[in-house]
Amino acid sequence: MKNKVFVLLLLCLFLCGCGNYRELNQIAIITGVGIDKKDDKYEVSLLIANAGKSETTSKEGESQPTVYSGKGESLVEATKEVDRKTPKQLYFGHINVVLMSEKVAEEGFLNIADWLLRNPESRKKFYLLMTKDASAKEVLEIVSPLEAFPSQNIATLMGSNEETQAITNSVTYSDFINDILTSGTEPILPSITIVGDEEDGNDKSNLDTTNPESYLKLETIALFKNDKFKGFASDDDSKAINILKNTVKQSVFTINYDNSNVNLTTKNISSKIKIKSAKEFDIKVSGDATLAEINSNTDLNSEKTIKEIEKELNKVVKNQINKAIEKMQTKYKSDIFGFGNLIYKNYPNTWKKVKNKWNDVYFPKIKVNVQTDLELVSTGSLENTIRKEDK
Amino acid sequence: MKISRLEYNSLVWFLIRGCFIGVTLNNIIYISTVDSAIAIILAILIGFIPLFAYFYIRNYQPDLGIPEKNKLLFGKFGIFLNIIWALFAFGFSVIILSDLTHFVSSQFLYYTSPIAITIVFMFLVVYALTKGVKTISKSSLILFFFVVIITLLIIIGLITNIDISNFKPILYNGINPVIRSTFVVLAYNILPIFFLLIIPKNMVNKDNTKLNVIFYLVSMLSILSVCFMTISIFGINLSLLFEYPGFHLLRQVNIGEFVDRIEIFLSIEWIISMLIMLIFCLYFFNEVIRKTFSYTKKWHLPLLIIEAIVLIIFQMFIIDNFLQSSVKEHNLIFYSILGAFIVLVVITTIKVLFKTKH
Repeated sequence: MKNKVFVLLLLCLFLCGCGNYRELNQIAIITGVGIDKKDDKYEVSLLIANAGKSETTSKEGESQPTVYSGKGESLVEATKEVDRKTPKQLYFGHINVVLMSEKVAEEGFLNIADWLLRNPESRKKFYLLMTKDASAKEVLEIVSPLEAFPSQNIATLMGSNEETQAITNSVTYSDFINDILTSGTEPILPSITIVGDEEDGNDKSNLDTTNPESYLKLETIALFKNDKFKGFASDDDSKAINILKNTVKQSVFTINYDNSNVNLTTKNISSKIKIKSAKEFDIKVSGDATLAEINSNTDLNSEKTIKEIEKELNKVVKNQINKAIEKMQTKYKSDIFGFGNLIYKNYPNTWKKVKNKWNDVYFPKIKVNVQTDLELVSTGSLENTIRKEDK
Repeated sequence: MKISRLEYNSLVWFLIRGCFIGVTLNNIIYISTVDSAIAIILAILIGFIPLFAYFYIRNYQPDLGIPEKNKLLFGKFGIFLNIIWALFAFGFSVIILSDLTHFVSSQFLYYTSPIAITIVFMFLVVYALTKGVKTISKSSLILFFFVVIITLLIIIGLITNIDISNFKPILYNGINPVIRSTFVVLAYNILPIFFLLIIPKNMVNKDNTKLNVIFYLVSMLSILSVCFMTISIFGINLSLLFEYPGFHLLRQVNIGEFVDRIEIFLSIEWIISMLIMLIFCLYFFNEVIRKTFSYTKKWHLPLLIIEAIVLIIFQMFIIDNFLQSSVKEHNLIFYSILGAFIVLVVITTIKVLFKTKH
C-alpha cells in the first residue's frame, strides 16, 4: 500500500503536463528563410507565417506573413538578432523554402550549410533556391494574388514548373549538400527572380489588382563547382541538364519543319548514362512526344512526315544535350552530370588517380556519345493540320 | 510461471535491435561506409557460431538459468563468472540508457533536461522489473506486433526511393573495415542474445530451436534492411553526416503522397526496442545478483531503486562523455570488453561440452 501511495505521489510530479510546452500563439512559425550578405555580415530574413499583424483588416482566422531580418557574423548570430525583435519564439519545423543570394553562393554554400541541417527542429526536406538579380529578402517579401504565403507561392511555383517546364528543377537542402559531398558530381540549384518592382510587390495592393505590379518567376539552373556558384545556364542548357539528370517530367521543343515552326511536348523522357571506359560515356535518351502546335500545310497523315518530324526532334534534342555538355566541359569545367561519379563507382582505382584534377583536366577531355530515341506518339486532338483545301 | 515461445522470441527481436539505431548503425557506417550492409550479412553468418553456443549452453540443465549453471559448472569460480556476466549486463544497460536519453533529447525534447528524460524512463524500467519476467515478455510480445507493423510501414514508404548504385564502389577501402564492422554488429546486436540464458529452457512453453533461428534471422534481416535503406536512399555522405541516419530516414517515408510527416510515430519502434532491451539487461543483472548472493525478496525493490539511481548517476555524471568516445571510436576498451565477453561465452561452452561428454 505504502509503495502504491509513493508511486502515486511521484506520478503527480510527472503527469502535471509538459514542462517546456509552447502554445501555438507563443511561437513564430517560420516558413521561409532568406540568406543574404551585406557589409561583410550575413543577413538572415525569416518569413513568419503566423504573425497576425493585420488581424483587424484580414479575414477572420487568416494570418498574415511577415518578414523579420537580422545581421550577424554567422547565421546563428543573425537569427539571434531576429529573436530579439520578435515577441514569439522562433520555430523552424515548418520551413518550406530557403533562398540564398548570389553573393552568398559565390562565397561557398558550405559556409552556411551547417546551421539548418544541424537544427533538430528543421525537417531538412525544404526546397533550396538561389535568387537572381534580387536579394533573398526581397524575394521573400513578394506577395502573390494566387498564394497566401510567399514561401508557399515559391514551393507551389516549383512544384508546378517541375511538371510542365524543363528549365527549372527542385532541389532540397539535404540533396544539395549530398551533391556537394558526393565524389565526381557537382551540384545545381533552381533560381528565382522578381519581375517588376520589388517595392510594389511587397505591398498588399499587389494582391488586389488584376495585373500584379510584380511577381516571382523561376529562372534557369544555377551552376556550381564544389560549393561555389559559377553562373546561370541558358534556357536550352537547363532543359538538357534536366533531361540528363532525369529531373524533368515534361518539356517543350520547337523544331523547324517545312519552313515552319513545329512545337512538340515531350513526356516520360528518361536518360541513361553508361560508362564505356574512364574516358568515354554513352548517353541514351528516350521518351514520347506529342504534337502541340503546327501551323503549316504539312500532311500529318503521311508516315514519312511523322518520321521526319521525329528525326528533326531527335536532332534538336541531341544538339541541345551536346551543347550543354560541351559548355560544362569548356566554359564552367564543372561535372554536374556525374560522369566522374560513374568512374568513382565503376573504376575506383582510376578515380583515385584523377579525382583531384577531374573538373579542370580530365572532365573537359572525356568523349560523350549521345543517342536520342524520342517517338512521336500523338498528334493531339487533331488528325491533321488546319488548312484550306483547294476547292 | 511459464512464458510462451513467442514471448521468448519477441525478446530475441528486441535484444538484437536495441542497440542498432544509436550505436551500431552510426559506427558501422563510419567504419565501413558503403560496405556496411556486407558487414551485417557477414555478421549474420558468423553469428550462427555464438547462436549455436547459446543453444548449447541453454540445453545443458534446462531447468537452470545461467547463474546456477555457472555455479554448477565452475563451483566458486562460477560466482566470479556470474559477477562478470552481471557487469556485462550492467554495462549494456548504461550504454542503452545513455543512448535512449540522448536519442530522445536530441531528436524530440531538445528543451527538456536529459536527466528528467532519464528519470522518467527509469520509473518505467523499475516498475517493469518489479513485475517479473512474465510481464516483461508479455509486454515485449504485444509491442513486437506493433513494431513489426511499423517496420512494414517504413519499408513500404521507402521502397520506391532505393538507389542501389549508392552501394558502389564495393570494398573501396578493402576488407578490413568490413571485418571491424562485423565485430561491432556481433558485439552490440548478437551477443546480447546471451542475456536470454537467464530464462531456463524449461520455463519456455514448447520451446523450439527452429523458431529461435527464424527469429534470429528475421531480426538480423530487419537491421540489415535499415542499413540497406539508409545508405541506398541517403547515399553514404548524408548517412555519415546525420547523428541518427536511421531516424532521419523516417522523414523520407511517404505512402501514396498522403501519409507523410510520420517520423515521430515511426521512431517509437526504436524507443520501444531500446526500452525493452534496457529492461531485460537490468532483469538479467538483478537475477544474476539475486541467484548468486541469494538475498531475500524484501530487498528486491530497494535494490532496484539503488540500481536505478546508480545508473542515472553513471549516465549523467560519470560515463556520458567517456561512453560517447569509447563506444563511437572503438578504442582498445571496446575490443577488450568484446574479447572478454567472447572468452566468457567460450569458457562456458567448452565447460558444458566437457561436462556433457563425461
